[in-house]
Amino acid sequence: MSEAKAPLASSATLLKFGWALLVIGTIVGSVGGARLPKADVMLSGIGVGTVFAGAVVLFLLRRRAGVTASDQPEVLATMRALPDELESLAKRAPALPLIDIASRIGQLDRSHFRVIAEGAPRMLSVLGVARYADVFGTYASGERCIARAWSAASDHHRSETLAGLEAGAARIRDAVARLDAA
Amino acid sequence: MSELERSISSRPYREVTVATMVLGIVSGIVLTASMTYAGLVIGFVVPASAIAAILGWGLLRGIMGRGSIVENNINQTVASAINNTSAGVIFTFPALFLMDNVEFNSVAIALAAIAGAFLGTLFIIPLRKQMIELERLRFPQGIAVAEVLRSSGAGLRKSMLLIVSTLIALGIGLTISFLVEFEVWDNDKLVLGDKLGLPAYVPVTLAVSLLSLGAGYITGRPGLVVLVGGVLANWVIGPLVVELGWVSPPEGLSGDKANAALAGMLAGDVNRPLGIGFLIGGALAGVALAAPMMRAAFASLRSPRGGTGGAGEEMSIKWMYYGMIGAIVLLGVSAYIEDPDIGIVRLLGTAVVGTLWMWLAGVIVAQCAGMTGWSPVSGMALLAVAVVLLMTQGAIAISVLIGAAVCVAISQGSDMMSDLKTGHLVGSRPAAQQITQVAVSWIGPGVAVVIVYLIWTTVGFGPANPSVPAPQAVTLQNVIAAVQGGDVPVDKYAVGGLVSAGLTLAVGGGVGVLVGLSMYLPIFYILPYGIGCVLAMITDRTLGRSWTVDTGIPIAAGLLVGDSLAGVAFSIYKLVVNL
Repeated sequence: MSEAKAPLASSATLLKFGWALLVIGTIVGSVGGARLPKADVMLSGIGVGTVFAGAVVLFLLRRRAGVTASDQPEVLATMRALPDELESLAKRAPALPLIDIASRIGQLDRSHFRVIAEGAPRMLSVLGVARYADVFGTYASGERCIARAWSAASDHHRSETLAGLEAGAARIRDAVARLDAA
Repeated sequence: MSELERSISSRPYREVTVATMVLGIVSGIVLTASMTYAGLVIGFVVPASAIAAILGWGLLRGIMGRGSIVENNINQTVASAINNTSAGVIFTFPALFLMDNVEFNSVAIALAAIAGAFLGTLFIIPLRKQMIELERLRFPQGIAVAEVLRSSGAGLRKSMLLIVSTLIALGIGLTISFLVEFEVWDNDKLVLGDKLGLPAYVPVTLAVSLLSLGAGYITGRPGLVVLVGGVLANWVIGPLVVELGWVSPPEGLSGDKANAALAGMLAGDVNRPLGIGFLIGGALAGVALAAPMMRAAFASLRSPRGGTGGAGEEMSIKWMYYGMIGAIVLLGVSAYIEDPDIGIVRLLGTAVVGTLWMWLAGVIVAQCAGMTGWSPVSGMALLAVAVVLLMTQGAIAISVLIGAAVCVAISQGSDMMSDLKTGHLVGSRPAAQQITQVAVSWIGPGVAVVIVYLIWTTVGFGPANPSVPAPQAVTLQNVIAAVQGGDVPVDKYAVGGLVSAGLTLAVGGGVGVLVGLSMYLPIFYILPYGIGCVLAMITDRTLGRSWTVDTGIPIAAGLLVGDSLAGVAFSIYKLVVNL
């Protein structure tokens, strides 16, 4: 138990130390730079050096900590569930009043899209830049199609609503497939 | 299926139509004229996208009985594309009129501004994917406009929240403007420092800016860095350097006058150059960190199916390359018209440096607008003028010409990004917005140049006419004088840049740019913005995220829109009474 806690405690201390270096370095560097008519080279240099030392500490800490997909369970589960919800809505949509379609998209926005939107940037460290761009670039284009479906439903335009729903569901399904492949 | 639904669905979904283009162009020209005048009077312009969106609802749907949400989005994109260039012209061009010994060619300036308008739109093609889809920056202005556009389908409660808060902000904004205009109030700020017994160089002043409050609320927790940076710059670093005796008041001043002089020196000679350094260093480090994401965005745009967005939905990346070449040629031609003796090396150097600076400054400003809703346009333009002035060994007209192009480009780019965020939220096709923006972006600079010329030849502006003081032009005139006198604060740019680069590399996410913005902007705008951020955090925690999104953000969007509307209404009033 104590062995397991020790690295965590040292990580927390190091994290505080790294942040302290950044804050102190920023203040010292800025105070040095603020002197008129010319900046104080010594103080500015110490400040800049301290900030970069803080950057190195935080970089090493991040490398040691690592992040895995299992650290973001809510985003992953919500994203995987979304295509089924959208496909089910797209299937029922031709028979539904447009106001109900818009309302259902609104519910999905609150229950799914917002959770993914707020968690997406954290997935960057899980997937790496190239895969993140591949997955979330595709996801975002699907999200835009669903937004278009909502707008078209509000404007009483059925064919555009159905097209937006189908395209959005397909693109988000594609994004989930890319996520699972990654 | 109802009769209405059958009739609407039988036609293609309205997006880019003649009606929306005409409406966008007409309202854009009217707004440009009033904003150009307002900018010469008050020194800044207010965002016009929301106003155009409201006009769009009234005219497209209210009077013409048609108009879709995405069609109105095109209307506001067109109107703001034309209007936003006015900032670029009024921050730079009028300075040339104020300098007696400088000869210049207005056509060359207009050409350079048009080059900037095209390039500003084309440069951000890959940034849309990077900043909106991948980094998911908030763009508070874009969210506010989307709230306006979606109000027709968002349900009665949300629409009422938006309308009521817009009207309240409009009323408050107009009341304050007229109280100041008729000298019932001496200014539109709450000066609390006096009451707390603090000297003027520890500023505790709040602008009554519902626009800043709303933008802060929409940004929420991520915007807190701006508040922290502002507090650090104004309440820690400033007083500390005064106590150290590193900033001293001019000789002969004492007491309150000395403190007021110190406040001015800290804001203008310390915080502003340090802030600009932070902005540049943070942006460069941010570009280095975001390089893999930018590469991914480029690769996606180059892919055979037009990127992950689907074929034809995104403007092709090749237009950005054509835009770069076109901008270099146009800038070169305008520099040649301005000074036929410039020589090929200096001509090419000026055009290439101007183009590169447009790109870098465009990234900085887009990032700032995405994270906070503010755009440090004038600072980037001042720096561009200073760099070209040094490069051309004092060719003032060419430097201002490049400054105008840069300023127009970054205003245009930041506006386009905000409009694209709105488009993402309402489901517009990015290519439709990008193409319409390119098609009309040349109109604004022409209108703004003509209006500046008309005002100069009729009533005049600058120190000779206190009712049209042209504060930004006077600032640029002072910067030019400082550069000519060898007084460029390179040391402050360098220190700010290095600290900011270290911060950004450590934390990522544009932290250096945010801290830079908080040093660059006056504290009276930062405080209401910070209060907005804190309020969003409080409602998140106490009432839940859903309340913040469904109730708080429509109210905040209304405050932002209403305050902008008040700004436009007041500038139209000023234009009319001075005719």
